[in-house]
Amino acid sequence: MSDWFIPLLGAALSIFAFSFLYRDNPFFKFAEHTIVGVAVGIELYSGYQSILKTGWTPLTGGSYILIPAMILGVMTLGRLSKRTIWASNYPLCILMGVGLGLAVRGAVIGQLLDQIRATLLPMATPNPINNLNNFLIVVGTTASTMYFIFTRSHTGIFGFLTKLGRYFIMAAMGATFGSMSLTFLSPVIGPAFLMFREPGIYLTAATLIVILVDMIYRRRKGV
Amino acid sequence: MAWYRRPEIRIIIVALTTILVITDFFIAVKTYNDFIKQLLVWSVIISGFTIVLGAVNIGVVHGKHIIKKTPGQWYFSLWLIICVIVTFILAAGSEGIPAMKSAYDYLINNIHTPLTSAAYGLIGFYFASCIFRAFRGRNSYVAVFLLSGCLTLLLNAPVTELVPFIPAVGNWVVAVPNVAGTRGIVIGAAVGIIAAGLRNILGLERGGLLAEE
Amino acid sequence: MMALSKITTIDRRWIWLVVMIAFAIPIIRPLAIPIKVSEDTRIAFNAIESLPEGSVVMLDVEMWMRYYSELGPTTEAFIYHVLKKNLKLVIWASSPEGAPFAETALRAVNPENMGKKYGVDYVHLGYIAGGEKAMASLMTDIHGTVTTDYYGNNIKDLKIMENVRSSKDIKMIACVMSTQPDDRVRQYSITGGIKWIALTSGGWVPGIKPFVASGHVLTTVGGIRGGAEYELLVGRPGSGLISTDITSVTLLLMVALVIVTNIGYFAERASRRGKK
Repeated sequence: MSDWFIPLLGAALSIFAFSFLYRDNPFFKFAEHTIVGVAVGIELYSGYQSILKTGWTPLTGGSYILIPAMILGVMTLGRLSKRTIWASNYPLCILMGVGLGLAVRGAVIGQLLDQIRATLLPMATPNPINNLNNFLIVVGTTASTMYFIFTRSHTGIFGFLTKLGRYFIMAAMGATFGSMSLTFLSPVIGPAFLMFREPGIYLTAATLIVILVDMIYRRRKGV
Repeated sequence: MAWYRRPEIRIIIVALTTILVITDFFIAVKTYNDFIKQLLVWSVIISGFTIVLGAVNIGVVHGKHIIKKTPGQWYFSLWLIICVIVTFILAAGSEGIPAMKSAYDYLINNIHTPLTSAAYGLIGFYFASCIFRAFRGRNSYVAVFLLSGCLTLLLNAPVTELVPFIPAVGNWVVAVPNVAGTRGIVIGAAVGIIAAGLRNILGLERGGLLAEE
Repeated sequence: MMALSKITTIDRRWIWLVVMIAFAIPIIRPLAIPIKVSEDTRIAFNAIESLPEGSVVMLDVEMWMRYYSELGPTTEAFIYHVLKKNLKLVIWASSPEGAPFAETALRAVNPENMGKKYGVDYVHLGYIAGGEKAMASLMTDIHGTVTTDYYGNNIKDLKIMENVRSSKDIKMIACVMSTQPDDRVRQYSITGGIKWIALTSGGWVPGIKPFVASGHVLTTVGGIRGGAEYELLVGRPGSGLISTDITSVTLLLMVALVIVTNIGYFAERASRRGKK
């Protein structure tokens, strides 16, 4: 039974979700709420497991230094009520401070100094294509960084360089767009296999017929 | 205003923790480094509670719909809460009971995965129609954007290996102009992070969590 | 010209139908388009090949089940490769759905069939909340951060974790991710001192390239194509290779849409100028 039932179930659920492309309907709402419900259930369990393995288990094993952390964690739940929201601010401030500290100390080296260092490329190598590429990277990085200087108006030579920087930024955005297309389309692959292979393809065909009938009916009714 | 609600205390906490974590990078004193290690473990524990907070909040929002019997919504909210509870029970039980483990795996692989893939796949369809509506070469910037985008798109399609120059040009676009443009953004973002850090350390940041209640 | 300019007014549902057909064609009639392995994937493969037996590889999974068709094949091929090379694998999830994602990949690879034993050759630590804070904490003290694995076992009882305590004991990190790499560069590359492999969604490859160029990230294995190439290299053809046909057709369709809409746009502009 699982040979045909599981693929058919998967195809049916995929069709429920895709039905939104035609129009909003109760099947899509059912799918939407199922997704959110299961995802929240997974999140709830994952959060509970994380607290258990990082906090509760070591605490009950003798690491009493974790008691303040557990108390601060419980205070986070104060965010659920207006009366206790003040209590949640303290642990969130600690998270914010720690996160910012980690970000700043890594950003200075990894994102600033090392990126500048990586831009210092040789432009007089035996390979002329390498020289051209390195020249473009140096000029492009400088120009696109200059684009983000807003304390000076973008006029004259500075304006020319910032315009050039904008072209490089657009090229980078374009490359990201090109790659993102695949990321946006790839989740469809799994459902597509379920919908266009047996037995799901029969369900897909039946759904298309139903949609066609509905379109004709609605057009006739003037809806 | 009660002292525990004052924004100054929150600002001091953020500033202090930021400074402590930053200076850990430069100080090689075991006691201090161990203290920061412990602070990191504390923040991991607190983060676990924030995940639970998000999940519980969804339950509260939908619980209100069920209690108020919001027309056209309350039964979907009820179904959502049922899904949350069933998933949590199956996940928790999967640790020790083989039958519940099978049921949880079934739920994840045969129900959640196709549903969530299809729902997120909707973005792909909207993206395709967005390309059709909006990606027109209005000016030279958009033209560069589209050219770079199309070459990168073709780079990811194995069929274009049949045309020799496409992978070469596509790889060049990703390796040269893309690196130059992205690096500018990364450097700008790094300066932004440092500026945000400084603003918090100096207590100049007054938005969001650090605002007056 | 008038007819061409009408292209821009097509109802978007027709475009969606065309996209759906683009997905259907390679599934109903596989095209079996051959693929060439790229230099980036080869660098990742060689990096694992060059590790001495018994080296510890950490796999950080920040994924959601909806991306399993894109990055599941890559993850499976990578896990298979690491275990086949008799390396030790430590998996942890930095997103809630990352834990079941990793577990699904592990079950697909079936390490027990390869003669590997859980707790000795590989371990799944489960989800650890905190994002960058969790990464920083793991780089400095793994046993201080987490005490039990995904299945509730105490990690002190697991042989594999005896000598894995911090970044000093880890030879390589691979991240299954679909997000910007900044936090991992800060924690793995700078704090941990480890170059890592990005097993990333195709969309993030351009954003990670500057970090590859600066030496923080070893290489990227991007999207379905990267996964298919990795499957070819490890000799384990799977769903990644099958899906490359679909990516070829759909991506060509996207380029066609860009070309068609621009033809329509310029035709519309010309007919408006003609009217004036």
